[in-house]
Amino acid sequence: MSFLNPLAILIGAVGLSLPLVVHWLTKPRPTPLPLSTIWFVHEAIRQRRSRHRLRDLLVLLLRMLAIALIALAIARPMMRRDVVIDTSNSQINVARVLIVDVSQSMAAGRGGRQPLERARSIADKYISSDQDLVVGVVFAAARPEVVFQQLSSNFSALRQSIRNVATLPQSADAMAAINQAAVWLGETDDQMKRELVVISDFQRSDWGAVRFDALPSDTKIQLESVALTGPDNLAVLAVRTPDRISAGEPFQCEVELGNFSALERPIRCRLKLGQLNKTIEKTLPPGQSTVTFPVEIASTGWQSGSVELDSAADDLPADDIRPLAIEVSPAAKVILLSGQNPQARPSSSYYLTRAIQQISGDLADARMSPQKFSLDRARSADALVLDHPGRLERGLLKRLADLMRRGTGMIYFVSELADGVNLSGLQQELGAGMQMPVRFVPPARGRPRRDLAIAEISRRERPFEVFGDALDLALAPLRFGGGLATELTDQSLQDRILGSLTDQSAWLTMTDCGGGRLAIVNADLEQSNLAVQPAFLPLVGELVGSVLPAGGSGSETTCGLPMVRLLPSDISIEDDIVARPDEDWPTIASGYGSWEASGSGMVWNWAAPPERGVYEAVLDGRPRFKVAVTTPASESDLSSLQSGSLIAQGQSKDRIGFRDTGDQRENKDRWWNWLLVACVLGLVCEICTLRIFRT
Amino acid sequence: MSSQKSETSHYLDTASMLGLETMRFSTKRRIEGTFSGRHVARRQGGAGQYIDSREYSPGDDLRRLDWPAMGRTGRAYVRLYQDETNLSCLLTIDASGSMYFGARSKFDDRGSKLEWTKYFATAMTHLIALGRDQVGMSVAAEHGLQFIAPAAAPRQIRILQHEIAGLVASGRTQLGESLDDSFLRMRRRGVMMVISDFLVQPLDDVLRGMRKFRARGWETIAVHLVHPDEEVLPKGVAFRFSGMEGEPNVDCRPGDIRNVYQQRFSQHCAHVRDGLLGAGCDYRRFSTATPYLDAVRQFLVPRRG
Repeated sequence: MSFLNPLAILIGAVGLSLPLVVHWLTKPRPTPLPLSTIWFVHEAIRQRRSRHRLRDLLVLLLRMLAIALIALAIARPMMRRDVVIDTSNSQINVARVLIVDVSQSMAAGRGGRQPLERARSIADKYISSDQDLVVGVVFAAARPEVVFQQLSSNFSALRQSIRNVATLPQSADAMAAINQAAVWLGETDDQMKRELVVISDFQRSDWGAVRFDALPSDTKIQLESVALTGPDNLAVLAVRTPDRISAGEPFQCEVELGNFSALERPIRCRLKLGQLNKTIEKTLPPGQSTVTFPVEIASTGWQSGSVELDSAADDLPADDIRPLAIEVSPAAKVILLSGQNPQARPSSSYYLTRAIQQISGDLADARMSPQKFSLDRARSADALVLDHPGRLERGLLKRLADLMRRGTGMIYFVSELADGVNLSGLQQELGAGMQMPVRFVPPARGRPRRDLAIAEISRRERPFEVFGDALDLALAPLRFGGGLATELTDQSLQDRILGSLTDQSAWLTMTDCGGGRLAIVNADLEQSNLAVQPAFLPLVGELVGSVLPAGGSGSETTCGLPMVRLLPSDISIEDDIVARPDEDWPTIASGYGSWEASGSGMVWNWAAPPERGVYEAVLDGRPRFKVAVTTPASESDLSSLQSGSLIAQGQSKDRIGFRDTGDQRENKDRWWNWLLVACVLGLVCEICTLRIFRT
Repeated sequence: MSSQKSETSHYLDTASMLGLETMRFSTKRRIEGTFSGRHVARRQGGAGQYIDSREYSPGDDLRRLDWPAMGRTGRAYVRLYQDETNLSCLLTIDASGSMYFGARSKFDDRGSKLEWTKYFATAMTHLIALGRDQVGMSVAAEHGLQFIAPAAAPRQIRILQHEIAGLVASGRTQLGESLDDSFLRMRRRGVMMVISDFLVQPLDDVLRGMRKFRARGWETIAVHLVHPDEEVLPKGVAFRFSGMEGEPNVDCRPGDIRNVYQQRFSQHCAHVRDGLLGAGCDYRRFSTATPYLDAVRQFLVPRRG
């Protein structure tokens, strides 16, 4: 326990003698008086003396207690574990590391003063030239940044760097900062006293899982909290769009808003996307809420904009705007790759051709034979559907694998043994980039696959979630035949088996392969009744949608974290491609990363996007790729950790101290109120004592 | 207090007592006096007033035989006469330290119980002497017992009043011893009047002494004297009470013990009253706030003969 005004304790100690002095001074001087009946007085006093002495003692003690309590209340005791680092001792060699949190939450301000400003003044006290001291400063952001690469006694430079530091739109990687401190402190001489000072708002999302185990065991840890009291913050937490947005096709843009206060707040949410400008007004309840903008974009290409939140001033205005970049694609082009005779009716390829023509609207160019495989046509397709392709040559499998790596989706209807061989060859081509949950094997002899019903499905996943409550009704009449038996692979991801049949074989699996996705339907449409059921067309449509390359909100990354994005396949390393911010966002002096060639094509590699905004890769003056760099949503929740949970993370309770120097301090140190209450109770007790012992 | 002081004592105010001189001190008990007087003597016969006759019985004094009655009736009767004698009154005065309570100072006993006692006792000796009765005095004091045998001579009375005027209160109460001493000295029946505050512990010695007089046929009168300031403690924050008969000092706040004190004092007065009445005494309680002449009047009215 420490005291805010320790001088009051001294004054209180002197004041404790006050009741004694008053008692002595006000003690009545007896008037001498002869009395003939003195033995009556003796008897009366014998009867009353013990009672009156008890009363006098009680009253005296209660008065002394009242003064002691008043002195304690003025001294303002702080019961929490407070300070473990002594900055006044200049005789000891000290190695001290300061971790200053510069994450976005440190910019939350009220009354014109931010936590970072308080952090600066606190940090300045720990860099004292009076001590025999070496100091290292780590700024905790998404990546820890150091002022010098080692501990230094250049205090002026350290102070200057702390004065100049600004908050970053990033979260703080607390463990990385502590590990950096652990490296420095571990390198110091054992004769030196090791100290770590962490100045932060101790935001729950950043510091909740932090541990101090990496530090040398004799390190004293001082936690200085500059957190706000009762943060009152509104924020745009996320913007969600469909994985693929087609031109002219309406879609829902869901905006997740956060109200991190205790009261409802009226807000106006504005979506700006290209020429589109929409506003929704709403009263936001505490917690997280979602507003939905119905959007339809006629033109294809990249669209950028932002979602903004207009409200009364909150603690952190920086998170009231969130950049947005989406790609509007043309209608999906799907090509059926089948070795069946196109004129054979009915056949499985006939059913699929009709379905694909309905989905893509392309009536002429929906089918291709493996023998007449055209790479250009295949590249122009967003998805390939393989049905009865027969045994595929290795070269074709290699090209198909290459297309999948670049993002082309594939649906494979497995109906015969050659399909199992093709899939095995495809897996060999893709290597570790493709991990199918099952392996296809010939069915057991004497157990023909026919009249199989669906046993289990993943209702909440595509392609089934679109059916909603009608799913059971739609799938109940389905009976399947053909296909192959399945075995789980050694490293099977069973959650990627989206449906299984009554013979325990997998019916529908979904596998990611490089940039593309592979859906495998284990059934022969000719031996199944799926093609003649009402569920056929929507099921195929959803399957195509689930394997199409993602666009929309997929082009979002987080400030401070590495960004690696595959550019469109038609861009090569020889192209003169330029990265720049979108017209609504400022330029960045440190650059926009680099271009690198990879097996899948050109890659935009940006180690740490420092600022939020929309950035684009431009080729020949036309944006070919855009990415929205956003701040982590977790930074908007300004609730901080309690001292107890932080101290508990220290290995030894004696080596860690927590001091709240934020505006919470005034509110948390309520002991003086209780002391005053106790003082009043003491005075009430005195009155009661006087009434009980009254004469 | 007085406009015309006596020659012997300034405590005697004869002018104020003119109204009381017609009320003679008497007793309804048969007493034994030395001389003839107006009080009924215990002895019958002699030259007193005829009161009755009775049959002769052997051994009767033949000088009292009623010869005329014997001649008329032939039966022997003896004439009975009631002797009248003078009263012998002994005043026993308590001169302990507590009787000095209420005095203005150590050398000025005005306002004290002793002063009141001096006025009262002087008045009583004056009134008793007016009736040609004998009056004596016994003083109970720690420094020594003082005894003056009852006498009726004017000179004796002046000496007595002089002694009363010179009384000094000090020391512990010796009332029991004084009564015992007087009992041994006094042979004839008379009246014993004790004037005291009866602040004596224990009271049994006093009661025993009173009972002895009462058993011998004396009339015993107890005048219980109380000072108003004794009944309640003085008002004030704190006092250091000093005992008047050698008790140790006591510091206290009167407010703390006022009620208990008053209870104890009332209990003591009730105890004294019950004890003295039980011992056959005529109990009178007077406050020093009561003028002594009123007290004398209250005392004499039911006794005037």
